Amino acid sequence: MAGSICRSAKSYFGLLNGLLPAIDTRRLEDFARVLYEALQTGRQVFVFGNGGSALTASHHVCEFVKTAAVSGHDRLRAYSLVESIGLATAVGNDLGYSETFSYPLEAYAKPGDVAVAISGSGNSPNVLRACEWARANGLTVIALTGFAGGELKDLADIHINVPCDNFGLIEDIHLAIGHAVSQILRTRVMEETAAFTAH
Amino acid sequence: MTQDLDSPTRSAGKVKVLVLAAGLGIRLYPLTETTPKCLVPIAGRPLLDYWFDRFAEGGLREIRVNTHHLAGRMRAYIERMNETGDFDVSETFEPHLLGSAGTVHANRDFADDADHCLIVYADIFSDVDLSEFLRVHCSHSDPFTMVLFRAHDPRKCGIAELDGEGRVVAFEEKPRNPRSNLANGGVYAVTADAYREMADMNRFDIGYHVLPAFVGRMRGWEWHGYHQDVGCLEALRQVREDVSVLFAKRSGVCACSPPCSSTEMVR
Repeated sequence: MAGSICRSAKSYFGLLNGLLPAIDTRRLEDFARVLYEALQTGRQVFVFGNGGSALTASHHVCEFVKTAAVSGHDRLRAYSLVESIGLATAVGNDLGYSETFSYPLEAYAKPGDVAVAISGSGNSPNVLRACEWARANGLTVIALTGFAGGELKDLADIHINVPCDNFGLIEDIHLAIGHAVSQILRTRVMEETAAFTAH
Repeated sequence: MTQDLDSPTRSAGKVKVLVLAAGLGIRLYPLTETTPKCLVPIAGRPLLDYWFDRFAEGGLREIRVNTHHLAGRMRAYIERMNETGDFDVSETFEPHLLGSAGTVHANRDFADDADHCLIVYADIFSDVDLSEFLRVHCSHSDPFTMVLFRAHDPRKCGIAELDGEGRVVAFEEKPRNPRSNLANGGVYAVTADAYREMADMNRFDIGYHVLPAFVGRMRGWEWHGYHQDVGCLEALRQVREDVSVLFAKRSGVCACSPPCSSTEMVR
């Protein structure tokens, strides 16, 4: 899917600035709430996407596991599905690229776990395939999308959309969402720890 | 397609109801952080109350409800229903969510003393006529009957195709290219044998994993009344808006503007 291109830095940052109020921050709170529940119940969180979104997936995992960590408290069991180039290329080569995320998800995930799908277009076949499997097998699906959300929006329990056709801006905001959610999560864990200590 | 067969080919006998009510209700956050999804208030009453109204209308007394999220609240509700004396409600607690088919698997013995079981998704607001549904279920020889409704967005539903006898000849869960809008209503009537067959499949989700196995020996019955999934905040808002009109029509007073026929069902 082709997206728009900015011709100047001023234009790019102007658009980025204009987009931020369009993000439904209540859904970010919901996203953090799901991660908090996963943390409390020992559920796993799997993050995945293609290209820039693959790197965002790894970045999110870094934030969820490291930034959100609170000393003396369990840490979130979050994993990126894009880290194993061997597995991804084996599945892609032998079974088809559309299976690259669903295949490891089937191996690792259990009902109650969380799938975080990142797709600017919302239509990446391998992301959709993984989310279809996730829905059919009792995972909570969180989707980060751009454009109008694509088919992915219909597969998500929590859908956070960046209403924009510029992939750079979409991916920038997806990354910011990971930072924001990890900080909300950390704050919540700290509050819980403080409340426990006070008792 | 509505079936209207002349007479039942089998007696309904003893019918028990399994209510699937354990979901986390993530699409209803933050409401469901403190309230179970099936207890969210609609016109001042918990959603599940309306299902118990349907059960009472259908003469259904033996109910089992699965619980997980905010199970204490659910337990209190179940106790209250039992105190009415109108129902015999039992709870099946799931420390980990089992999925709709997994709940049937875990409660295989529920059908032991039943002739038929109804399986109901609690997060639906419906005025479905369960007596008529059971009559239809008993009027054919297939072991499985599902309520169908016309969906606004069939891509979010399980979509059925029927033959001329109302038999489901194709079923696809959340199709990308739906061939119709005749959707799974989340209410099933099954014989006790079919219930045990579902249980023995030991799968997770009825829509994805179980229903395809019943294609060709399952009937669909379209409900033309009100039937709305309360799965997200937008849908809940819509139901809350619709319900006053629905109740007004039932009492013979039309609240529509402009007024419409009080016998016409609201969709």
